Amino acid sequence: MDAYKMLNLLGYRLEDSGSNLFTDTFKIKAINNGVIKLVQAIDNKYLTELQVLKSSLSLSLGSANLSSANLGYLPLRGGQGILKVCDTSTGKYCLQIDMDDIKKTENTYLAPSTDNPVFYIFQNKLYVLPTSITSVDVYFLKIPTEIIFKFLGSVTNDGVTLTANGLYGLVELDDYYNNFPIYSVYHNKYSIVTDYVGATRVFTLSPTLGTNTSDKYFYMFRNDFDDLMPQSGKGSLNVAPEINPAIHEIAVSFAESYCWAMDNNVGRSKIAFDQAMSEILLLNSRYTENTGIGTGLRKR
Amino acid sequence: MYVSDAITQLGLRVEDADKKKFPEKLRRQVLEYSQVKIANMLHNAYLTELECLETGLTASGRIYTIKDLKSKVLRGGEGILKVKLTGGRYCTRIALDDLKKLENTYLAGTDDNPLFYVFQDKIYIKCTATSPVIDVYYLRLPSPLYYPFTTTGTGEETQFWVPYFVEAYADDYFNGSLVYIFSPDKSVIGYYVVTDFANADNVVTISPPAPDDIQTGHHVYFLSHPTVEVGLIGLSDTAFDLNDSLADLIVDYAESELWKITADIERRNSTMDKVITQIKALNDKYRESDGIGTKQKGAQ
Repeated sequence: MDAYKMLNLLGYRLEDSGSNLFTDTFKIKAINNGVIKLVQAIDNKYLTELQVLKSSLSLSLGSANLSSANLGYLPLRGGQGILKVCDTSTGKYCLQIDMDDIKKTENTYLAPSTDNPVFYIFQNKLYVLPTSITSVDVYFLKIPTEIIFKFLGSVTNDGVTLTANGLYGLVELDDYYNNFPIYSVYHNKYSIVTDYVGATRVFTLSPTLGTNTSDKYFYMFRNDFDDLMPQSGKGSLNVAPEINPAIHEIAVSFAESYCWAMDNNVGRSKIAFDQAMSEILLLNSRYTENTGIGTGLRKR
Repeated sequence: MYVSDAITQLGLRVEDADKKKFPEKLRRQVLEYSQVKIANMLHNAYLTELECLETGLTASGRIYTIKDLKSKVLRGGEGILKVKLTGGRYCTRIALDDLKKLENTYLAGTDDNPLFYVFQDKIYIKCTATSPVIDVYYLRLPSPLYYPFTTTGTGEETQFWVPYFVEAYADDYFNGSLVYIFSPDKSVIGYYVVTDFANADNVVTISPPAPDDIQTGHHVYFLSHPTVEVGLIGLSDTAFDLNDSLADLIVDYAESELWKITADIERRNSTMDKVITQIKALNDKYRESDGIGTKQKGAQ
């Protein structure tokens, strides 16, 4: 489900399909909040779309900030979103320890070494021991990108060129929105993006929209079945949530709950929330543990 | 059950036979994501219609990108059921938590004891060969509820025939429609806008041009049109992908979705409870195969 469909569904559920009570901007905010709530609650197994591998993260004296500047994205759930850390040069995986275990590293048998490195997280910072390790690969879950659904733009060049008036959350990468369908409210027409210039947010369209206009709304959308994939390592689609389509609707339920609460309709807010949570609990309960290798308590 | 029947049944269940409250377009969309959600919550054993096997895939550098599979995968990484070295052994699935164990030479992946894990929408193979050829068993996302019209090619990138229309639609009827064309080999895939439709021979002209000739055997979804409900054409010949015995459950879920749109809290709750109870009952009554060996089997 893309942002446009989610918005319409939410509007319908709130008995506000005309967006008289809740503005579209607010509803999109509520949906974005719903997506965050969902990914916080659901098992990691369902979030493969949010998995990121940051290779060769440089460490300074054995530590590095878990910032978007360092990782490319902010990790989901803070330190809990860090799934695995691996020494880049040796390929050895680091064991994660709690703060409570730091004292134990003073024991020579347990002291970290390049052959048996450890890591812990404190103050939103990744600490790797021994400090002689200078670079690590970090496996983590990222916070999903906020979704957008419409923007104001101007059409020129006899309907061939569309320029967005502002950023509106549009990705500033060339060709990022190539092949996306666009709908012009003013022209009441669909068109396809054949070229996109990220720096200037200029779209080239085919077929042309016809009349030149300024300051009109344009919708961008997609479907769950389409092949509009994010470019490798270049951010992600933000026309639809970056999570599996099978769980998109749960985010709408959270958004609905949020909106009803604002409307002082506690009953409907609670039902929407409870139903979203019951689906999440059902999904989490059906998660299967991998067979794995070696012996372990889970196989006993 | 055909989708058109489901749409009609749904209307009766929500006391909207005259389509005043819930238009067919909305019902189609709700049924579409209801099918996905039911598939998402049900035990894999009930989803044999969604099972896919792709063989002889090359995992360059022991990595295979899930997006390169022919169909989209249900539940992200959870939808990958099995991986096998083509002509060789099945790979044992491991979790990220087990990566550290691979440093033990007795547990490391080899062609004789291949392992795999899924991360960042990629399948990582641990075996001896650097670019192994693999077979992937997975669950695909159910098809969208649009009729996949088969095209007859005209040897052009901008034109094709749709025999299904049997010259029943007037000239220009589909002009302005947004369509999605796809071919089994992915040579043509993506969104286009219909710029002309001719009744004689059902010729459809599109823009922008496709990257390759549209050929006989390609498929096209007619998704939407500013004024005509093109997405509903052919639904009397479109069935759910899931087993027919689950069609009623899909309609049950869609019903609960539509009650969410009304202020009728009691019906919303009761229909949702009914669905969750049925799914739990089905998941609980899954009969595990006898299996072989002595290892405890895990439920999926």
